[in-house]
Amino acid sequence: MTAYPDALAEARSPRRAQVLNLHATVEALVTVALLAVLVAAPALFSRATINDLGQAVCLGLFAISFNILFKYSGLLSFGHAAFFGFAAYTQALLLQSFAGLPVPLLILATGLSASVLGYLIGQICVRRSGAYFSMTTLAIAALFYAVAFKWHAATGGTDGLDSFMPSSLMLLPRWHLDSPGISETYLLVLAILIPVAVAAWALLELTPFGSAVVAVKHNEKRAAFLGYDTHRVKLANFTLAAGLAGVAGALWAIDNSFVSTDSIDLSFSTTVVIIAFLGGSVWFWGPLIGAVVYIAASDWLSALTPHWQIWLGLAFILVVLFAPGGITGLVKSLWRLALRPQAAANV
Amino acid sequence: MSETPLLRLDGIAKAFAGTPVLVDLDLSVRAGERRGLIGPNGAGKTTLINVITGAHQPDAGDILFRGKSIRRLPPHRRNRLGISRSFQILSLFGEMTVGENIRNAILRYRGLHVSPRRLLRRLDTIFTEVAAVAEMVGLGRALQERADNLPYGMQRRLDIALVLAQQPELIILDEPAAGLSAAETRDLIAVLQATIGKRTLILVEHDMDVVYALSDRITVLDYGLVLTEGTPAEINANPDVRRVYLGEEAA
Repeated sequence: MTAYPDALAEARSPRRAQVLNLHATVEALVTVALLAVLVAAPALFSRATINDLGQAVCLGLFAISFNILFKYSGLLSFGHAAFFGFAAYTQALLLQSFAGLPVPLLILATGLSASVLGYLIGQICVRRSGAYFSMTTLAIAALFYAVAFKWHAATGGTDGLDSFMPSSLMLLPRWHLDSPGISETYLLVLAILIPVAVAAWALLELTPFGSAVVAVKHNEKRAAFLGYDTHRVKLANFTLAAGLAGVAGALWAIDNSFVSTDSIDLSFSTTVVIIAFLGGSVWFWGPLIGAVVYIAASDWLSALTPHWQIWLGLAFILVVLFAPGGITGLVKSLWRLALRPQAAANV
Repeated sequence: MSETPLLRLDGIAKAFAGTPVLVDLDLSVRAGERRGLIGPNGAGKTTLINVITGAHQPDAGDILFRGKSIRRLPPHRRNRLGISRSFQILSLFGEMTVGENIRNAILRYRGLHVSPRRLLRRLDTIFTEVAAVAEMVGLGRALQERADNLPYGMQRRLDIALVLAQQPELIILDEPAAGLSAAETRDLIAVLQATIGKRTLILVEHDMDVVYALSDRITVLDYGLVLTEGTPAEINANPDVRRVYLGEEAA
C-alpha cells in the first residue's frame, strides 16, 4: 500500500493540481466575502437598500434551490414556485395561529412541510426527465396556483394574507416586537438563510450523497448498474430542493409581512429560472448574485421607464446568448483568461 | 465443495418484437469459475448478460443467484448482491475524471453515509482506494484526466476498473477487448489475470485468444440456445463449434 501515495504524487500533474487548488481557494474566498458583505450590509447601506436586499436574498435562496435541481440533477423545473408559495402561505398561516412560538421553529416546520410535499410530488415528477419533467412540474404548479387563487377562506384569494408578525425570537437578537426594524428583519432572515444554504452546499459538494446525485446526472444507466437506486437519489435531491424553496418562501413571508398569489403563480416560476441563469447555474452561489442583480436592475429600470420588463427580458436574452454561464460564468472565464499568461510564463 | 451454483439460469426465454433471442436457455456457473461465452453475432450473448443483470426482464424462466431468485430485482439491487458488469458500448461518466469515475463505483459499494465525521475519515481511505484501483488497471497516472479525453484503450480499462473497484462476487465482462489493438489486448489479458483472483467471471468475447487465456469453461451459444459447453481444449476440438463459430472466423 505504501507505493500508492508515491504513485499518486507522480500521477497528479503538479501544475494542474496547483491550478485546481487555486480555483477552489478563490471560490471559497469569494463565497466567504459574498456572505460577509451580506451580513455587514446594514452598516454599509441605506434602509431602502436593505429592504431590497432582504427581498433579494430570499429570492436568492429560492433560486439556489431551483439550481440544486438543475445543476446537480440536470432537471429543469418550471414549477418551483409551487413549493415557495406553499411555504409562504404556510408560514403566514402558522404565524397567524401560533405567533407566540419561536420563529426559527416555525420556519423549520414550514421547510419540513415543503420537503414532505416535495417528496410526494417528486414521486411523480422524477420518473421523467427532460421536457417531460419540466411539463409535469409546470402542470403541478398550475394546480397549486389555482388552489391559492380559489381557496379564499385559507389564502385570501387575490387579497392575499397579511397582519401576521413573529413575536418570539428564540436565540435571535431581540427587537421592538411591535415594529421590527428593517435591518433586524434582514438579519433574522440571514441568520436562518446562511446556515441552511451552507449546509445544502456542504451536503452536495462534500458528501457521498452529493457525488451520488452528480453520478446519476452524468450517467443514470451506469449508476444503476453500479448499485445506485437512481430514482431515490433523484427523489432525495428533489426533496432537498423543495425543502430549501420552502425555507426561502417562509423567510419571504416574514420579510414582506404579506403573501399573495404573486408568490405562487406561473410567472414567478419562470422568474426564478431567469434569476438562476442570470447569476449563473455553474456555481452554487451564482443564483444568489443573480437575485441581487435582478432586484437592483428591476429597481433601476422601473425608475427610468414603465416598460422596464422589456429591457430586463432583453438583458436576459443577451446573457443566454453571449454568457450562457451567467454573471459568475463570465467572471470565471475572465479570471481564467487573466490566469493564462501567468501560467504560460511559469512553464 | 458446495453444490449450489453461484448463478443458475432456468429455462430463460426472451424475444424482441416476436423474434426469439434466447430460447429455453439453461446455464449454471459455479463460484470461482471463469466462464467464457462465445457464439456468432446475434447468438444472444449480450441479451443474456442484460437478462442476468436486470437490464431486460426475461419472458420466461428464472435467474437464481446463490440459490435465490433475482428475476424481479432491478439492476441496482442485483449489483448490491454482488453482480457487477462492464459494457460492450462503453458507459462511463464521461465528463468526470478517472478518479471520480472510480470513486462513484467505490462509494456505492461502501454504502452511502452522510455522517460528516465518518466522511472526513473515509474520504481519505477512499482516496487511497481510488488510487489503488487506478494503479491496478494501469491508470495511475491518469487520475485527474477527464474520462472522455482518454484514448479508447484506456477508456476500456476504466470501464473494467469500475467493475473491479466494487469487488463483486460475480464479474461480467461484455467484450472487454472490442476495438483494442493486439498489444492493448495482451495488456488487458495480463491486467485481468492479475486482478480477478478467485472471483467468478462471465466473459463474452469474440477474440478467442482472450477467451482461451481467461476461461476455464466455455459455453457456446447459437440462436439463443446452448450449442455445447466444455473446457477450452474440448471446445477447440468440437467440430460443431468449428462449423458454427470458429470456422466462420477462419473463412
